[in-house]
Amino acid sequence: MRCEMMKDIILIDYIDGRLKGDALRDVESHLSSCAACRKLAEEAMALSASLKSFPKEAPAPGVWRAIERELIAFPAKTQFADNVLERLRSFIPHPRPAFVMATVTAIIIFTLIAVRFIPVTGNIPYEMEEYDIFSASSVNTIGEDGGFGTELEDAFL
Amino acid sequence: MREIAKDIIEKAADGDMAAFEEIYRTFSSSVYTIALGVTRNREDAEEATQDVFVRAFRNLKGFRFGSSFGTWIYRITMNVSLNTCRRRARRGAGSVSYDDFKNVLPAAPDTAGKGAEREDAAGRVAELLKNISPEHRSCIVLREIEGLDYKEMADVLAIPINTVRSRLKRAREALMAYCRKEGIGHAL
Repeated sequence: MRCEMMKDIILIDYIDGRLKGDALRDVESHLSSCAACRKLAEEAMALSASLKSFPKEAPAPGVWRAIERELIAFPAKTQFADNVLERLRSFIPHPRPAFVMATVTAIIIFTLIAVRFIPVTGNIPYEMEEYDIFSASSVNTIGEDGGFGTELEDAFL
Repeated sequence: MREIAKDIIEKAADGDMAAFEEIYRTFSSSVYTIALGVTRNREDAEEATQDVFVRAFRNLKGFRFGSSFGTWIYRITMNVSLNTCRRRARRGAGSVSYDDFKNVLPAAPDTAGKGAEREDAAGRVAELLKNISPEHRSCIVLREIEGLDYKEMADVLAIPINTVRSRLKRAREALMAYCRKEGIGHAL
């Protein structure tokens, strides 16, 4: 377990020289007593030294010339495009996020209130409509006295 | 990590080519080395270097000095180099042999002995680096070749420091396993 933990420390912090004080002494003490970890540290050091030998070089002179050529051609064609885009952008309003959020919240609250408190009118259930038609057609509508036989009629007629 | 004065960046952002050339002189060696380490191919590295500086110039006005200029340009380099690797992988030309690498290294301007030595070192490292993924390679290149610390690496690669640490560890494990398997040993 200790070697497994040490392996992580050796392959990262120890190799990169990030250990100081007690942490460094702890690793060095372990390395002096553990042959496997010592071998790992030596291999990692050798690898690191080898990678550091990779030469740092400047690119060939042709690279700068190619960049210069491209950049000299660049302003004429793209700065014009940038200016056009910039002008187009200025016509498009850019609302602040807080304002957008407040507006959306207000719309949601208003919708919820409307749904909750405004009564629904004008829609008669299908069954009721059918019932009324049925009742109207099935009842013997006109009586002998020319009325409909209702209490209201009795009161007036 | 290299750095450059703010007024030079501002002049270059206003289109001053002399100022931009100074930026190029300051960073081109690092940009090219990173690109060469990640792509392992001189032609790709030169193309990437060109692409990096053209992009940098075109986006200089957008640079807000929120991070260091070095971090910014290294990040562009890493993105361009990794994209080059992905393009090459899609074309099915992902592997570069030691001989290919030697052939594409620039001609040595110094003495023949030193040039051959440098070529050998570069070839050995390139051969090693082909055994790890471009993402792991980019960590190794930034740490071992460019000498960046973990925080700088995390900024350049836009990943957390712990991811930098785990990638470095895995990359080193893979490289050491390859060395053992090939019998390269300590001499490398």
